[in-house]
Amino acid sequence: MENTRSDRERAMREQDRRIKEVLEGIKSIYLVMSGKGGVGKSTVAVNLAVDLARRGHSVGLMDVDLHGPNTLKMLGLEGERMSSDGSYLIPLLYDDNLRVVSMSSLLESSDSAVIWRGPLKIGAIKQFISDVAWGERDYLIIDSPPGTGDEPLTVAQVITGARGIIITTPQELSILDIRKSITFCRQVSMPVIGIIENMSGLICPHCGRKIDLFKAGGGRKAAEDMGVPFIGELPLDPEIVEAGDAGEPYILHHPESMSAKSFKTIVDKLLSMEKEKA
Amino acid sequence: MIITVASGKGGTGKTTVAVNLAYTLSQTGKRIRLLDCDVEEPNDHLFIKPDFTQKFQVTAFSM
Ligand SMILES: Nc1ncnc2c1ncn2[C@@H]1O[C@H](COP(=O)(O)OP(=O)(O)OP(=O)(O)O)[C@@H](O)[C@H]1O
Ligand SMILES: [Mg+2]
Ligand SMILES: [Zn+2]
Repeated sequence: MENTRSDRERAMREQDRRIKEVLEGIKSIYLVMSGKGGVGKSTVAVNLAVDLARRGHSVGLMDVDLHGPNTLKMLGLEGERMSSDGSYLIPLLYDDNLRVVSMSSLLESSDSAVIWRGPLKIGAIKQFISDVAWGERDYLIIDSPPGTGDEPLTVAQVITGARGIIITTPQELSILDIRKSITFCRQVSMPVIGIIENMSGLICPHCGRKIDLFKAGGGRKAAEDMGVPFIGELPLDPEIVEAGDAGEPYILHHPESMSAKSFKTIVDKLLSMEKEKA
Repeated sequence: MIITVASGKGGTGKTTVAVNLAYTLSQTGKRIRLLDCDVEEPNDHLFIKPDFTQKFQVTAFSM
């Protein structure tokens, strides 16, 4: 018994050492989160990763939504399995600049359900960091499930230096929920970079005019109320749904569209906020 | 009868369906209990604005 216990302790120390080593190679880490589900975290995480990579940065994308991992599908990498070099897992390569790790690349099929409680989830997320050959990265973007459960908590506790990007839709229900996300960040001492309002008005495909389907301006107001920066807004656009379902990142496939321009404005703002900070 | 409203995806309308289902069934004269088991972001009460008559202290493990 003694032996297994000290073995386990040694393994944990070794994991902590590897986590520290991996994190040293990564410059900026963003945790994309929201209080409410289905508001576009994965969509933003994927397009942000692809856009930063397109701008020449080395980027990692990690999906810690263990129950509903969607990022591989959105990147057209569904069904690809991760390989290992014996001691490290090799992340999937989207292109030269973008490496991706997701629970779905470890599951047998896309219908498999992960039924795990806290400790197992925490272990899996720690492994996503310690056992993956991330290499030197300018950015690591982490997509999380909605809410303030084990996944964002583990990231906040294990990945020192991670900062939150909070996604909301404009309606009050979602705003109420992100106030909890911001409180959560404060409680676990994770800095909040700011709020992105998604599905911020629908561009009517018939007349091109904007319809405020979920109201408008809620994200900006919440940012003011909570004293965090407002990063920008992305309209509701049927082409974004198509692109997500087809596994063709919107920002690459419709670079000239109005929504892509809004998205690039968001990324510009994010980068300029980073520069100011540095 | 116990009906659980669940989904793998966020933002798909679980709360909207649960609340409206409970309300609609209650209109048939049946006695209904609506349990909001979303421990992080419970929202049912925002939709039906009940009068809370009792409150209990709940203790969870600390972080
Ligand atoms: N700006 C947008 N315009 C139109 N559709 C969008 C937009 N953003 C996201 N969507 C669509 O909404 C759905 C939900 O988005 P997504 O999966 O990114 O949300 P999520 O917050 O990651 O959800 P979950 O909480 O389940 O992880 C997807 O079908 C996606 O294509
Ligand atoms: Mg998601
Ligand atoms: Zn119209």
